[in-house]
Amino acid sequence: MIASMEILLNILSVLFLAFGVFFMMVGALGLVRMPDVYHRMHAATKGVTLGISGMVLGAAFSASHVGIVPPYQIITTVTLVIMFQFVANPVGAHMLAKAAHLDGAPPWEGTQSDELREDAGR
Amino acid sequence: MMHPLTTLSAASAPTDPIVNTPDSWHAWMAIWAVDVGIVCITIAMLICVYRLVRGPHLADRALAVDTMAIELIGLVILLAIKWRTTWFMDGVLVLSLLGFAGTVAMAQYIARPHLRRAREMTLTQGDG
Repeated sequence: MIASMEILLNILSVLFLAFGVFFMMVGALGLVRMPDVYHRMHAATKGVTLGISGMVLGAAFSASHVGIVPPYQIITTVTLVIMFQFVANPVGAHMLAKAAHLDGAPPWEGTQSDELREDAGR
Repeated sequence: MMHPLTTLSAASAPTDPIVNTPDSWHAWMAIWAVDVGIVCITIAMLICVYRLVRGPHLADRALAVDTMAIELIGLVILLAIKWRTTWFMDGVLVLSLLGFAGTVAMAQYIARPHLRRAREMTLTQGDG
């Protein structure tokens, strides 16, 4: 492989990995710092979805210059993982939020309106 | 010492752990980034353990487990880069499926008594 190509792939890999790890840590930090269940769900799900996408892209760029597999194999897996995460994480968070609301998890005291509760007439 | 599984597929078998003496600055940078990433993801998982232990509501714990599952995927990816193998990438797919299934199961577990009560109210009112 050409040396400059290798430099470029290493730099891209490190950049995407740093992006992913940063958003992973932001998601975990939001899980601790946010005041109630719904805020925590918002922060953790968004941050972690973006973080896993960045890390998987970094793995793709890192593996494509090592020469252990043809690049299309790892790119297929990476596309599958990213698409699945972008579908599954919001669905899971919505189900969990609906369940927590049905179970009566207390919202933050600064919450202005709760339209789901008004619609249910409770 | 060859890995015993290299006879199956020499092209994709794990090689030895990544060489400790890279010959260029960008290879040093890649190795350093992977090591720092492993430490950061581990710290993030410990933060999630805090929420898992302390979370006031059951949904908090379920959310912490979901976040930890996805951070575990990130850790597996970092180890795959560190050991220069692609064998873990299928495991990444399986782990993401399992994390989603666990979240859905926990949501159903939390919501089921309330859904059953709502259905019984609808049946007694006779307009269901």
